Amino acid sequence: MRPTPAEIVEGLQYNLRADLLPELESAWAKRIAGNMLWALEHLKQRLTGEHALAVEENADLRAVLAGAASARDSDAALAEALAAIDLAPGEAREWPASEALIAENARLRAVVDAIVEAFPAHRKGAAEDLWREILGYIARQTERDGALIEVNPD
Amino acid sequence: MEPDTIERLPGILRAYLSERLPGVRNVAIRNVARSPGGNSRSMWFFDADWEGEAPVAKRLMFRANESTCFRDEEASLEKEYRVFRALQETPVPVPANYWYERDPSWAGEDFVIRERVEGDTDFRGLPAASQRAILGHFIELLAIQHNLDWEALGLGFLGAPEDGPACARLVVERWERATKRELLDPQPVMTATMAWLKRNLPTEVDRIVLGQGQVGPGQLLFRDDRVAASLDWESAFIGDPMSDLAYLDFMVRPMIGDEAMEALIVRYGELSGIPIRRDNMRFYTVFQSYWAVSACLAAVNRFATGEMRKTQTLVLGMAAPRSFLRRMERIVREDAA
Repeated sequence: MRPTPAEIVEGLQYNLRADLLPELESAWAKRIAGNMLWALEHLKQRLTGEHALAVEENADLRAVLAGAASARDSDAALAEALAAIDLAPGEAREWPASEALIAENARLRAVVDAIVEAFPAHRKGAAEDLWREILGYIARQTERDGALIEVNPD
Repeated sequence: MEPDTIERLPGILRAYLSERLPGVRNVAIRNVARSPGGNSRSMWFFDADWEGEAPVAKRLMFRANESTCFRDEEASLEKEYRVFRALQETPVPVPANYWYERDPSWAGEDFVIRERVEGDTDFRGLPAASQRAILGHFIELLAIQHNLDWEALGLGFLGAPEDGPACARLVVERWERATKRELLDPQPVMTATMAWLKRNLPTEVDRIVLGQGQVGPGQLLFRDDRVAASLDWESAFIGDPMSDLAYLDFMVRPMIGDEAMEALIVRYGELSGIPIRRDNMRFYTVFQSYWAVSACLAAVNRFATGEMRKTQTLVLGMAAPRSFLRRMERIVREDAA
């Protein structure tokens, strides 16, 4: 439907900037208006970019879990550390709905988080490779979250 | 605070001061204004007047317990009030704290009334010479603070580590618990950073001191190139002095440069008599990133669960920790390289 949600958000941003902010006198009110502008910009980024980033995150998490399953098979210490963690990546599918995709990503991320928590302090070979893969994922995940959050409407 | 309480605040303050200052008459409250500063607790400035004598300043501040990012388990308003009261008897300049009120019938929640000290907080906007002068004074105060007899001041309630190694272990355990309590989504970068912290716990601590937690510009009021008051004690702790020094380094070095920062560190060592332990400073620099994100997680939690659905809570919870998350990601990656 037009206008899109993002277009409506832009309308709200305009009114805040052009009509409300110039009328505000107290520093506190101006600060809160600035916060609202940030939240609106974040919302716009979520509306337009969150789904694509979540699809990317899903593929990334599944690759980490596949790497973890493979590394576990060739490293006894790692196998022991990760014994209690279910590394099954779940069903590969299309994701038309963001809510289900984000819930699935949260599940996969919890598994990766459990791997990080259980990871042996001393690592070599396949375990070291997997650790680097996990750190690569963390770097990409930090970038993806940053794309939605590090917004500066002014 | 609830909107109707905010609307009634002048009347609440008038009634409260009338009760607390029985020797005075006709208390009047004027110029009640929300403080735009601070990220955690809500504050209002106000002026009071009365007939008669009372040992209380007339330019005051009302600080409500309502906090966007801290839970009472880690940083209660009462704890902060007790630290302020103890410091009022020392050379560390703090605003006088007059009352901590826990009766919710006044304003619906705990609050503190304290003196409002005149001064500025915008350190970044100052000329370089003023910045150097203020930091020079501040480092003297930090050395004094780290030499205070915290037991004699009655600050053992903050939780004293039994020995040097316990200093870092206690704070790590406390904030790991807080993080697990607040996290709504798994954050592997937090888990990886916690693993780094546990592997790098400092064991050598030369003196166990009263620390402020968050120190330096941002927590200071200054006037005429001197520190007029040290404002923020909600994160005060008993532990390793390198924690405060690391926080100062992390916040100030980008503003004043390496040479000036190193001179401050040397000066601190001379004045305090405490050896500078760089490994401990590095540990606490990483820990403080973890701590900052962890505190902000409580804000995200409060917003998402409806406990405090305000945009200032959202912005603090989501936007403020970004640079710390990037820093933690970089440290764990460098550590693996």
